[in-house]
Amino acid sequence: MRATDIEFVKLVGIEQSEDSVSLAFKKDVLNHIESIHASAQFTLAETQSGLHLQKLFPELVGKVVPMLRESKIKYKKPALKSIVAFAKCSDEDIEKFQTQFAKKGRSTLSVSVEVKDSDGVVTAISEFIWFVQKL
Amino acid sequence: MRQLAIRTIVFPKDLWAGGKNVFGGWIMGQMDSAASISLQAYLTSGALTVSVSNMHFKKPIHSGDVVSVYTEIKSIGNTSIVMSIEVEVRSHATNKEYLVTEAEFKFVAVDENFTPIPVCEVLHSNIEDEDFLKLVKEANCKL
Repeated sequence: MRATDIEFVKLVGIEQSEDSVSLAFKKDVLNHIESIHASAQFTLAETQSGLHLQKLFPELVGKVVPMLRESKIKYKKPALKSIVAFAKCSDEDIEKFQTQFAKKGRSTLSVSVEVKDSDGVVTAISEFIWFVQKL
Repeated sequence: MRQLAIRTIVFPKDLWAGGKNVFGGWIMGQMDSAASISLQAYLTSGALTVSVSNMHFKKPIHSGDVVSVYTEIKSIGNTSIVMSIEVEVRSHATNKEYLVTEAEFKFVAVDENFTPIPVCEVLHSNIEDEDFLKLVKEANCKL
């Protein structure tokens, strides 16, 4: 499924391209000091982390329940332009996830997400830990 | 002092795909807004969220749940303030609240150019919260 089919993603105004999700610099998502709101950046990163899971394990779509268990985010620079999120997982974590999921039908996976502005400046770095369980 | 900053209700538009649990970003937004509301009672300046750590989603939040967000300032640094934020949901069955999410937020007081400024220089002069005043004293601020 496309992230932009999700009501909350639409509400925030996140747009999806092939490999990433982005958020335009527009009034709706600015905070009182006119930079992109911390929670809008968090939502963008969270969305990208979920999509990354889906991209890594397309065979599990519709057969598992993914639940966000834990997260952390650091804001490096104020986001004063449109932003894009990029996700990655280490090969070691993916392997661990696959082994445990095959054995127990449930497992956790950590997804790192970097948020950059349109000039390539990193505005936030984050980590999302997903718990995935068979339906 | 732990204080209630926001109480609201979850709607279907706030949920993840599949429509069961609330979006983490929605919870984070409520927590960040709650923090802003609390901070405005203490600071005359703006403040930027610089990090969110130990964010644990302990229990799911569903559509129709009444959500309360509690804030508590834990420490004051030179330009920063650390706040503990807890999100609770009131059970329909027992009318009691239970913890669903918690996290630690760090803010930095900034001027209009986003430059960090000492917290001691931007405190309201009429703060009455004794717990906060204790932290102010520990940070060697003079009101």
